[in-house]
Amino acid sequence: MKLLLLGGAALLLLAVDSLTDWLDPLTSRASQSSLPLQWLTSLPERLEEWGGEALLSRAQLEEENSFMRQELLVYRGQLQRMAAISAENTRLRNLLSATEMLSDRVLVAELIGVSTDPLRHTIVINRGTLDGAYLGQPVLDEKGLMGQVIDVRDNNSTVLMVTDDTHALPVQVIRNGVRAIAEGTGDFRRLNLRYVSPTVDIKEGDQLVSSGLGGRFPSGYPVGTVIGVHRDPGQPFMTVDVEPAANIERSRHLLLVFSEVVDFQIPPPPPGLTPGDAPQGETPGESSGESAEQRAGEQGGEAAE
Amino acid sequence: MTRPFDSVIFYLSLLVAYTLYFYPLRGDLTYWRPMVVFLVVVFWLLAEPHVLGVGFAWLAGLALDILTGGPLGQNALAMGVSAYLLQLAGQRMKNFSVWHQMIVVVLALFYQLVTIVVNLIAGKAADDWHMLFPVVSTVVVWPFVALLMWKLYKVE
Repeated sequence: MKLLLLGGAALLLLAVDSLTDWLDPLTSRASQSSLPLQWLTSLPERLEEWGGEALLSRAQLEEENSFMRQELLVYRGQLQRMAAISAENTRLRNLLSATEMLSDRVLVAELIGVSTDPLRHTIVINRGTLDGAYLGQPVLDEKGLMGQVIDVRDNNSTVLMVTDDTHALPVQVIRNGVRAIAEGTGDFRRLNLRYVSPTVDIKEGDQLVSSGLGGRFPSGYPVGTVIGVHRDPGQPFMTVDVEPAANIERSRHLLLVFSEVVDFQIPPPPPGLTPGDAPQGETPGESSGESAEQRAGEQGGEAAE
Repeated sequence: MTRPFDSVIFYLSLLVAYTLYFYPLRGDLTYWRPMVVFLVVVFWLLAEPHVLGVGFAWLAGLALDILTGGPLGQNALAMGVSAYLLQLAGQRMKNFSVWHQMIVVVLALFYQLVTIVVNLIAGKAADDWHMLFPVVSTVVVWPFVALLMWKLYKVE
């Protein structure tokens, strides 16, 4: 009798929690109660990290320092070209009359909790609304796209990883621009591409980046590498396995991305047309070359900064 | 009658179990997370069958649901079912024996089965061998938990 009552209560809770969002504010707050426990149990890991930093010999530090200097030099060198390429890109986009471009700002966040359930790939990070984090915000690590914020509180937020089996994001092959949707599989080291027809040109080793479609993730961040393409004549679509670029299970330091849409000015209509006749989407040929170049220069300058 | 509730070990063991449950396991190790809270609850059900029962197990499971932020009621249901099975199996096996270990295998299996069913209904990819790994790790950890707690409880 007792079991029936309690079992029924549990089932009712399950149904209410998964079918409605009535309990969401409650569970969102309640899940914070585990943070002290998570902090306590992550102490060994933190100590090890701290020890690795604090208990180094001078020689090791000097060596690391010089290595980092070299690395910085290399990156600075690459960045010099980046500025020029970025300006050129802006100019080209302008020629294509692309109406917007994204400039991304990032905020470093630290991981403070990991989901205990292998079926839910979520983590908790130490940034919340007070730091400007918002629902749906993209999260990166040093190697690639990691996930998005699905629950945000004052001082921390929950991030859903791209490998969770409820997650999917639009991607693009760098080599030829083929678009697809990468969905999580519940496995930390594998994504699948959805609805790839057998005639699509995609092969092992292809790099995938976020395509920016859907507007949630900014375009151009690495998502993964194709590690297997299986064509089954009996199936309407191919199975494409992708290894995520981000270190989904290891990264402790993450980046929150703030994408800001920088709108281009709508080019002024050419003298021959009255404003009423001008169509909303203009072809590049219609705008005068001079002003386009000027705008490109301005935008390029901003992007380089 | 109120022996477990007066005992420091009772509260301490639960606290330690909940804390240990959140130990950060990364990568494939996540699949092997032992159900420590479940084990501690089973120990107390075995040690004090007249005081603690399905209700206690259910509450312990609900607390776990709240802490993990998972689907509310999942662990409560699994704990309740396991506790009920334990009561059916006969609750007066006070001495630590091989039989205890056998019953924990069955209970852990049922516990995980409830979890799998709940997740499958929720549309999760729970139809994988990975889902049975916790049962193995839990059964391996059980003798140590049981021995340690039995010693501590007896001393007290």
